[in-house]
Amino acid sequence: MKCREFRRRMRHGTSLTDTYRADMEEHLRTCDHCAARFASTWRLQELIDEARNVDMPELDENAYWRKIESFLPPVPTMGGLTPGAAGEGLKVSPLASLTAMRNLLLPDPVLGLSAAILLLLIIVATRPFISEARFTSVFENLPEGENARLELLYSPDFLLKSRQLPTDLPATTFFWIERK
Amino acid sequence: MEGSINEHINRCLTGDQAAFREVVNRYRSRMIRLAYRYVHDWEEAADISQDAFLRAYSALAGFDQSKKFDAWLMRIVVNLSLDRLRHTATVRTRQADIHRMLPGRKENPELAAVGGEQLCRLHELMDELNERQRTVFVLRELEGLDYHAIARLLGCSPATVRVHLFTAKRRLRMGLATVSPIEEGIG
Repeated sequence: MKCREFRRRMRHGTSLTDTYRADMEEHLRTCDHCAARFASTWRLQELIDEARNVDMPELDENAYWRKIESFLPPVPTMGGLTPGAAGEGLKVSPLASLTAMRNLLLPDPVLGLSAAILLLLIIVATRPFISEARFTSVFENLPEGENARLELLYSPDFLLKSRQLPTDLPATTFFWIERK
Repeated sequence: MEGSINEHINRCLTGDQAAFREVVNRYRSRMIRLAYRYVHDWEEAADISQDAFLRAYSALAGFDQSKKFDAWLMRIVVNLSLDRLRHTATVRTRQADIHRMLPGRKENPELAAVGGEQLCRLHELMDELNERQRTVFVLRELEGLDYHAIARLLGCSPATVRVHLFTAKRRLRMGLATVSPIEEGIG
């Protein structure tokens, strides 16, 4: 048996058949390197077994709980706190509070989706007024003689209109949008 | 099981501390034991686990209930333990713990001394592993989690977990071999 084969079989541990075991024992007798490796692996496994079976000392459950209780806030906070002090994969994301809100207020995904659609409709419905207000604000505050152009996002739901500025502002075109 | 833990969590979210106490009772031993794997001190391990429960409670509203609560809690304990190790430079005497670990060897002081030394050396070598290797080793070999569970917990692939475990065990094995008179005799 070659050393590589021996190591491959060694990884199978107790699932070895008697034939394999006999071959391996034969190899152990002839190869010092594999024998040393086998011994160190065996010893490590024994130590792992001992470390795994550690006996936990008796604990005063009430005292344990009282210490936790003394620091407990009245109700869990809405995200934001980093539960782990270090390492990866634990920091609460910036969306944690949103998730928390969703869990508390919208436990049903369908309800959440409906709320999102409603919010979107409100935004779309109010958009022309917002855009026009912005347009008016910029238009009225534009310094004299400045050549400027305000571009508003075009959407197929809205008409794109334009109007010329007064003659003292040369060749300047402003756009705004209105509902169809 | 997970369904009932989610019920407890929902009760906790309404401020029901009795529900949280039940959660603590359910996971207390496991979390203390896990912390102990890192700090090798029961008192400190209990302290870390209490801190972990507090942090978990505070962040409970942000916990995604479709995920496993115990894995989330374990991750908190692991991170707090690693954090404690980083910031604590105190040298601990582990003989008392080792003595407790090896009840069967009490009758033979010589054997107990050898075994205790080896276990102590194992702990020292574990301290020398990097955080990933150490965490994978602890979760797999001492806590008995499967590769997929560890991978989910650490946010990596099971193949990566295997690599970390292989490296950790090789380093431990080589570290133990450097002090072992038995091995020297074999070579």
